Formats: sequence, structure tokens, C-alpha cells
Amino acid sequence: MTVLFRLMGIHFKEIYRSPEILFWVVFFPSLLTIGLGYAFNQKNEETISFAVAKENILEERGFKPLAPLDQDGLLVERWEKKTSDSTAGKLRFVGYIASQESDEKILLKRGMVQLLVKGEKDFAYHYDLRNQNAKLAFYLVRPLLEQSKAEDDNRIVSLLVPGTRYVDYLIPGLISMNLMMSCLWGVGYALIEKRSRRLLRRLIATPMRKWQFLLSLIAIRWLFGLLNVSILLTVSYFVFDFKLVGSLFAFLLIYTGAFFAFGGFAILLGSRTSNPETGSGLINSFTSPMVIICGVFFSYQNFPDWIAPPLKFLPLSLVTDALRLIALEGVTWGFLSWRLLVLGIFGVATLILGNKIFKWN
Amino acid sequence: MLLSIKNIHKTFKTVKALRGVSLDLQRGEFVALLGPNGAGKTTLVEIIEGLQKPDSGDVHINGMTWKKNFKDIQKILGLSLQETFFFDRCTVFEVLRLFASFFKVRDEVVEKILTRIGMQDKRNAYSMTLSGGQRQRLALGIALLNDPELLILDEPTTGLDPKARREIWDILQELKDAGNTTLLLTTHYMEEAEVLCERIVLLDQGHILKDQSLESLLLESGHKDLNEIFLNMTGRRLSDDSVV
Repeated sequence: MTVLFRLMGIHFKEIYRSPEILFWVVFFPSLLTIGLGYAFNQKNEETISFAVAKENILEERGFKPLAPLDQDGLLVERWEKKTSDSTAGKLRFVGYIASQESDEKILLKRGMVQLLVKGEKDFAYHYDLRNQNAKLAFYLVRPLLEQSKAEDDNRIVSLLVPGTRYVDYLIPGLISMNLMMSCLWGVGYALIEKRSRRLLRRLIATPMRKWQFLLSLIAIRWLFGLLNVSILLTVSYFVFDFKLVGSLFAFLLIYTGAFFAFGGFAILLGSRTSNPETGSGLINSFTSPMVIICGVFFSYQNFPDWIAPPLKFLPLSLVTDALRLIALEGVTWGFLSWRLLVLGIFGVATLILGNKIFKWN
Repeated sequence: MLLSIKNIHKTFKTVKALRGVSLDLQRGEFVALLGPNGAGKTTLVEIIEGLQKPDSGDVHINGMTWKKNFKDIQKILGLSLQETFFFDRCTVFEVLRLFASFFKVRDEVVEKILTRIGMQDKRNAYSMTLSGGQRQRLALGIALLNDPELLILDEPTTGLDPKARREIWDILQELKDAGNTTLLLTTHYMEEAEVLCERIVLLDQGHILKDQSLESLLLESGHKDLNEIFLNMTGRRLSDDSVV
């Protein structure tokens, strides 16, 4: 045990004496959560922008003139109107006056508007039907310009169920992404870097056991990961009022299962190469697709039906889903046990394979 | 006999690194394995160190083999590899203490080693701040932690300036004077072999060309130094960097 603790002590010192590692491991994830949380969180006031040909309709509907927009060769007038009601919340409408077709195109290309309103009385609404924001702008701008209310407005009720905000969905995803990154870079890349500096070769020429070295690397990342998750949860609680509904023990268990699985992948990916650039490419080629397809930022159920079911068995999906179930729904063993089992299988398989092809020299 | 190597062959893809090398070392001998770059020196010592397996041939260390007595051999072996880096942000003392734990060596021994390699003043310096010579001294200190019966140093002074090289030689000379250690040293510096070792093994293209004492080698060949002997035998120089 002395050897294991000494090795852990060495890895610990290497991390806490490196300000840049501390920043990436501990503080960056919290900053990322705050940044993304604010970016995607429900805003107090939503801005809806659109373009019309003439300002008289806006004036008639109670819009107030703003300072004209003069940017990169585009000079257009802007009008603003703020509304507030129980169905749509606080809205700020900004109407751009695009008297020429060329102005319309520039406004669209620069993403300033996604909806064009043409005609003076019988309005025609032009927008990309596949664009959800444009569709939303249409549904909100039309009643305002045509001075009508949607027939079913009185059936709209504001939904304020705890744990249903996007930020609630996002935080468990960010935690699982951090776990994966911490393992793959902290263990996988560390192995490659140490191999390139011939340190692995020197270590195995001693009575140190190989498993002691690998375990010490994973264990110290597990400990730093705990610190990282604690900071993340604390920041999320104070900044976004994010609360862990389920059991902390279940959360820790999935966290440990994730480390086991990702630790295995880290050893597998770091098992051969001694070139840090190749290693970096290998790790990126594993992590980048995972971040996109495993439900960190949006549900993998948005993918076509034929691909969504297998995606839930990917290691990052398993961890993300499990953490969400625990954090948001308070779900415990029933839905978690099979996920832990699959994570365990991933861990064992990658550890066996990684160990088989591992190059210490 | 402490080390016995019999008919070692090793091939890497199409390159024959060792072609039937045999070598014996008696206890207390200081032997230099001398040869130009690519002669097969590192391959041979790594096979002796158990870091590589030979295609054929046997290695016996104190009558033991790597296959049967892995742990026992590690206990009596001290080694320093070519160009090793340690944990960047750990101090000299911490690195020594870590390696000491592998051999179950106490902290008092670590203190003695620090003094022996002349790095007491650098005990709290991060290994990333050490010069090449200091890093080699640290590597030598690690090799000495378990008070090895057989010490194998692979080009311990390559790339060092003359002063740093002298400092390593002084430590090795003290070891030689103490008489408890057997040393196998690879080098392509003729002077290093002449200063430290009484027996010279000349290796070239995987073959042992000569294996005898320095005096008899010089006497027999009629040349005044090893470089001339090697030049006469192979038509090539030992090193382009042989002047200390």
C-alpha cells in the first residue's frame, strides 16, 4: 500500500503544483457551466426580431423608434415594443425596416432576423420552416401585427416545474462530460506523455507493480474529480438553484462506475503511442463524437429512430442518463443497475485489452 | 560470476542488433561496453536489464534468470537508462523517496544517497529545473538506492558538458573504491572507459570485437588510445565527440 500511496502522492503534487492543470480540472468546468447555463437558461426577456418594409405599421402598433443600426455597410431603422403577459412572458419585439430587398438579405445572412413580413395589410410571412426560432417568431409576431389573439391563448399555462429548465438538463451532462475528459486526458494522455519521456520504462525496471501505477493515476483523478463535481454542484446550486433530487450515494456510485469505464478507455487509448500529438488526436477522436451524440447538450433521441437506441449504450450516454435520472427524477436502483453493469463491462473489457497491448517500453 | 551472457541474438525487423554476443562479468569488475552509435550497446544492456527479450541466448545474473527470478534480480540490480525524465513538478527528494518505496528502502538511505550524488542543495528543486548533469546524477542516485550488486549505466554522460561528466565520474570512482559494486557501463566516449574501467568490451554491428583489459589492449595493438584501435579495426571512429 505504501507504494500506491506514494505514487498517488506524486500524481497529486504534479496536479496541484501545476496551476494550468488546476484551472482546467477544477475551475474551467464551473466556468463552462455558468457560461452555458446563462446562455441557455430561460431569459427574463426574450427578444424577437423581424423585418418589415415600412415603418408605418410599426408606429400604428405602438412601436417606439430606436437609434438606427449602422454596421458594416448596412444602415437600417429599428423600432421596438415591449410586451408582458402571463402566456408569453416578457417579450421585446424589434422591427427592422428593410425597404430594399438587399437589406432583407443582409439582415437574414447576419442572423439579425429570421422572419420577413411583407405586404402592408395582407401580410405574408417569410421564414425557414425548419428553423424553430423563426417559427416561434412567426407565432409571436403575427398576432401583434394583425392585432388578434391566438384562439387557444386561454389554454396556455406557464410551466414552472423544478428540474425542467434547460440548465437542469445541461448540468448532469456537463458533469458526465467532465468525468470523461478528466479520465481520458488525466490518465490516457498522462500515460502517453510519460512514455514519450521514457519514465514508464524506468518505472517498470523497478519492483513497482504495473497495476499500482495505473491504479494510482486513476485514483488521483477520481479524487480530483470529486472536488470538481462538488464545486460544480455547489456553483449550480447557488447560481441556478439546481438541486440534486436523488440519492447522493447513487450519484457517487455512478460517478465511480464512470471512472472505471472511462479509466479503461483511457488505458486502452494510451496503451501504445509515445507521440503526444498522435495521442492527442486519438483522444479527441474518441471524445468529440461522444460529446455530440451522447446527450450532453441535447437528447440523442433527436437522432433518427434507427440510430437513437444504440446510442444509449455508449459509455457517455450511460453516465449522462444515469446522472440525469438521479439528479432530476430521484430514480434509484431499478434504472441504474443495468447501466452500472454495462459500464462495468466496458471497464473490464477495455482494461483487459489495454493491458494486453500496453507498451511500457 | 555475477553476470553471464551466452550467445545473445536480437533482430528488429530487418536490422540484426546483436549477433551472438557472449560476456561474463566477475564481482567487483568495472567494465566498459564501448562502441559507436548503433553498435547494439543499448539493446544488449536492456536485455540484461530484463526490459527486452532476446531472440535466442541466455542471461544469468547471480545464477538467476529473468523468467524464473524476476523479483530477486530486480532487488540486486541498479540501472540508469538513456535520457530519462522524471516527474516534472516533484522535488529531487520526492522522486528519490518514491523510487525508494519500490525497494522498501528507508528515508535515511535516501538522505545518504542525496549526499553521495552531491544534491543536498537541490533536494527541494523540481526535477524539471535540473540541468542535464543534475538529472543524470539523480538517475544515478535512483540506481544506487537499493545498494545494487550489479550497476548498469547506459551512456550516463552523453550530452553532458565536461564538468558535469567529471562529477558523474567522481561518484563512480568512489563506488569503485568502495569495492562492493560491479559496473557495466555503455559509452561511446573513449576517455570515460579509460578513466573508470579496467576492462573494455568493444562492440560493433552486434559483434564483440575485443574483450580485454585496457593495458593489454593498448599493449597488443601498439596504439596509444582506444579510438585508434577501433579506427584500425573498423575504419570508423568511436565517436565524433570523443574529446573531453
